[in-house]
Amino acid sequence: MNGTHDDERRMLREDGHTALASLFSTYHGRLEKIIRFRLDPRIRSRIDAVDVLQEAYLETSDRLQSFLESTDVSFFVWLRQQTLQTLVDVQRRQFRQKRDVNREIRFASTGTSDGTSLSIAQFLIDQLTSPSQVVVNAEEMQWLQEALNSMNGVDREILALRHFEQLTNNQVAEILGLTPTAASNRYLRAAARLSEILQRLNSNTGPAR
Amino acid sequence: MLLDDDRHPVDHLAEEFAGRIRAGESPQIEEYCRTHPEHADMIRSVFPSIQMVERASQREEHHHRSGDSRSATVLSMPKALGDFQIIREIGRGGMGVVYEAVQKSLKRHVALKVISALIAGSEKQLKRFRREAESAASLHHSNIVPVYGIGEDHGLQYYAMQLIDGVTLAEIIHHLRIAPPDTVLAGDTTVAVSAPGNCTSGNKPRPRRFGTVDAVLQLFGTITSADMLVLPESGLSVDLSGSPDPLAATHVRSQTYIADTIEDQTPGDNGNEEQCAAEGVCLNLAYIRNIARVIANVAGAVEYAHRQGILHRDIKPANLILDRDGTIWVADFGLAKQADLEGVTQTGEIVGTLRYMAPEQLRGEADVRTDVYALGLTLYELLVLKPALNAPQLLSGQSRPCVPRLRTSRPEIPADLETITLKACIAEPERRYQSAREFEADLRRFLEDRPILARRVTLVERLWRWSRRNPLIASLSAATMLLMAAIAIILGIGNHHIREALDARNIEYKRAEQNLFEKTLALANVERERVRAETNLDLAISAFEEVFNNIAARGRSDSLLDELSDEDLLPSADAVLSSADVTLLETLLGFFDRLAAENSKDLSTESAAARRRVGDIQQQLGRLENAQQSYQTALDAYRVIAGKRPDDASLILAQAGILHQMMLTSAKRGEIPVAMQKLKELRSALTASPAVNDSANGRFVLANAINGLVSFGLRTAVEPRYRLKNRSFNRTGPANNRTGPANEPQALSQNQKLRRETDANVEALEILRKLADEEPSSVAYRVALAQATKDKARISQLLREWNQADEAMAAAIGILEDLQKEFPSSDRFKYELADTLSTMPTFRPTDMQRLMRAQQLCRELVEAHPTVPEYRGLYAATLARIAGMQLVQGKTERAEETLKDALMHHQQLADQFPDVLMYEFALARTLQQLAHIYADEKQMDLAKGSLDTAITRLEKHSSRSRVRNPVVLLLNRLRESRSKLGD
Repeated sequence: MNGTHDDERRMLREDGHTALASLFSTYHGRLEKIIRFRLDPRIRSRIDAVDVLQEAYLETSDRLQSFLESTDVSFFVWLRQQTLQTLVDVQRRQFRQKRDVNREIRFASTGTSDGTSLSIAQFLIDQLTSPSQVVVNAEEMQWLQEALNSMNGVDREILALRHFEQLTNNQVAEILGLTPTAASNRYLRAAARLSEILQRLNSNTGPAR
Repeated sequence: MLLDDDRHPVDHLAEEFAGRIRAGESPQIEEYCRTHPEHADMIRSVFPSIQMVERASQREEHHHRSGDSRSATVLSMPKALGDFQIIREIGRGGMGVVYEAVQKSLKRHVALKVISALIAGSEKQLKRFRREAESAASLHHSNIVPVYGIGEDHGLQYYAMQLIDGVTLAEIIHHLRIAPPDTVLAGDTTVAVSAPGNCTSGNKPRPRRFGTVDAVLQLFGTITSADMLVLPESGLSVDLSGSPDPLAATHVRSQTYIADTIEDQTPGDNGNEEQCAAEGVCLNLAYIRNIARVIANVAGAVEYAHRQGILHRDIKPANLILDRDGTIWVADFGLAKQADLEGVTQTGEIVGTLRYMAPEQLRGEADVRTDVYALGLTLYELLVLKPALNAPQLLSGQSRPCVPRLRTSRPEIPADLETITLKACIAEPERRYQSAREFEADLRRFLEDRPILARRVTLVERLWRWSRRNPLIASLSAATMLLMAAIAIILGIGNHHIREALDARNIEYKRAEQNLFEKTLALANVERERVRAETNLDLAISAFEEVFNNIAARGRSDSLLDELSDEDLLPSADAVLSSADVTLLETLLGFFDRLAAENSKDLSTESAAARRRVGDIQQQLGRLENAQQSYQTALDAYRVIAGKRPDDASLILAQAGILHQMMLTSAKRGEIPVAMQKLKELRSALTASPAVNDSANGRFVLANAINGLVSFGLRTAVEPRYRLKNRSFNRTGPANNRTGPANEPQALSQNQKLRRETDANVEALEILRKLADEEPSSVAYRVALAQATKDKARISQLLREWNQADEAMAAAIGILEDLQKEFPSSDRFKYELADTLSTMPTFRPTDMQRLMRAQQLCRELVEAHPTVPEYRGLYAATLARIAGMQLVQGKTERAEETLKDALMHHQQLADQFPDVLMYEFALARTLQQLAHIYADEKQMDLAKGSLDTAITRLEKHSSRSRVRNPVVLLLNRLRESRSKLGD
């Protein structure tokens, strides 16, 4: 793993923006997935993940030097941070521009951590919805989101990172500033907790598939 | 359980579990509990949520990739809908789910498409859907999947259509993209069919299903089908209504209708697509023609629907099904939602469908030309095996770029077919084919080898349209702007040249042009709001280089070879360049210097490269002395840079390239010793660098240098032309002709010299064989190998090892014959083949056959490209050799006629390029040969006249040529002959 990091760092140092472009295209798919997952559902129809990526590319290419000067972060983790920061900026702009979007909000959302809950809830509801139901019951959505909110914020984030962003345990540990052992243990705990929540939700909403 | 890091053991299991779900498997939780009983409790509490979360994540991915972001809701499988009993799900896509079903009343198998309620949407949309489906049901065409009817049950909209046993073109593309070439091309059907798991859907064995592999083999002509090689109208439709027991037959038959599902079947490989496409398979002519035929048939079907007033609106490979009879079926007519694309453009998430959507469709407009566009992109993708436009390009906003040329990545595609495809994919509807019928008609013309109506889009047009679509250009800096303007002018002039003289021949030029556009476009896409000065500079420099490259490439004979060979194995051609080019280049050079001055960045490498380009162009214009100077300046500059960066192999290769050009220039001026000296410098520069030895390109350049040395060495050892039996005059031996540099001792006997050439030749052959083994697909290696093999034949001849000579010659010819067969339209291989065929006659009857073949090939080349001097030169040389054979056979009169013909061509070349001594020499020798014949026939006046002409011309040369020795030697010989004839 460290070998890859060193290689990437060396490539970037030697070939600068050419290397950045090639690495960026390597991670393009994963970053796009991350953006789609993190994108605020309220503006999903207005913002295109690819646009965010392009913008993120410009940002990273501006800040490449600062990455090369730092030593404590792996390239992918840094790239992900830059991308998410770009996403936050883009979303903020969107909300400023289109104030009326806020009126369409169906679910309360405060802060990024709740954003994760909302994102997870959205995806899980899609999966849980029993076949006969075509339209998701807003009440259930609310319930699931609350349940997710009741989880520890870090645990919830770990689940999202491991499964929606498909990061490795080491990457998760790096991002959250945990030791790999702690990250691994918390991950399992969070998964067990989520299993409970889902089981309860399932029994509430009738027979699922 | 000992593990390599500090994670909990169950974490490892969980990771594996999640990985399997991502790979499309359905791992069982209990299975893990059984194999790891010590963790069973924990597994039971942790895994269910992982399963759920991963499935949700996967599903989101599917929906994203299949373009269905809005209907994440899963439809259950109903047991029956109306009259239809559902058997199984066979596909899932953006529009809904496709089931195999039995229509109870008619007892026939059908494909049933159930429309997702979210797609159907509002009552108004629903009404429109029904109207569309009804009109689609009215279509009756042998290439359109018949719609039996539509219905509604349990609140679900569905329609029934004929079940087609076939595979979609999307599956075929996917298969060709990922399959190793030998699997695709294996002649053995059973081998290929035994491994269909990676391309067809599902894991269940489907013994009799017509699979992707079958379809591919069919398209490649490996197995034939009823329809593939005959007229399209005879396509059989598969109608199962007569099937005696449809239910029982189901499992055996597994009739499948698949739509939009290709993405669903191959989760998780999106990252590999580019890579696979790059490897790709080599398409054969049967495939290319079959694809053209298939798309022509689709165009016919689409035209039929258009005449009924029905647009398809969603033509894409996943909607086109090829059945076992080779019949193509168009599915989902008119079912795409009409003009409701706001959501599409906003989410930007449905690349799958967007990919084939015409620009006007994104604006909510659609007409018949919209379908033409989508079909054009489909054809493109089938030929190139990768999408014409990638996702960022598609979603880049208001502008849609031109699709890249097909032959850039797939030179095997015929130029006409490329033109047709590009015309169908033009962004502006008014410039496309105006109807599917026009599109079809041009494809049929191509298939029947008749001239097509589409015209290549000219470069000026492309530039103009491009700048119109890219207002960003306005934000470029002023200096860059000026450079761009200059480039536009030069490209315009280049285009004029092309139309006049080169036509579609010059791929190099096209590639350069393409690169220029791609680079600029890539930049424009990334730019968005900010434009960076640094990037602008890079753009300007690369644009500048492209212009140089394409001007330099202009007038070269066909350079189909990959970039490895751009140092040209063939001396470049002159005629189509003009001095206006040089003036323009000098102007450009001025801009370049200004740009360099404005920026702090070190531009010395770029500057050296530019000087070299100038040398190339001067060389092509026949200004050999100027060229030599430019090369020297460039070489010196590179040496300075290399002094600072001694380990940079690219600098050595750049120097090697210049030395190679200097060698060619010297050879053209008749300075063979200087040329050999350059090759020796080149060789030692290359062998001194370990980095060069490590790279395939470096080894290739080295092998070429050695090849060149051997050729020159052989030429000085024995000049074949002098070995013609000389009856009338004293023979002047080649040993006297030597003017070698000091390090070549005069005392070297011919055999010693030959031994040395043999060693060098063996070395070159060894390098090239290895390279060709490592990369069998490289045509450049194969051509160089043929040349080295030819040299081997010549060496063997000189050593009188006749059997070996014959063997090597046959091998060289074999390689080139193969290349010519593979690329019948390539002039380059035709030239090489003709050159080899006409090498070193040994005065045996078989030689005459080879010479006649060479003559035929040369004639074709000259007729097609009268302005390329190499072709004319080879034609004349071949004629002279034929004349030699005819003389030996005692056919003096015919020899005289042939020589006169050769003379005409030689004279034309010598007059056109007075600086190129080679042509003057060839002319003088032909005149000398002719004089022999006249002398033998006792036509002394004519003999004298020929020799006088030769002498006068050469004398003119000797007064201004730096190369005194060879000229003087030849002059002496001519004068000697002349004096024997008396006054």
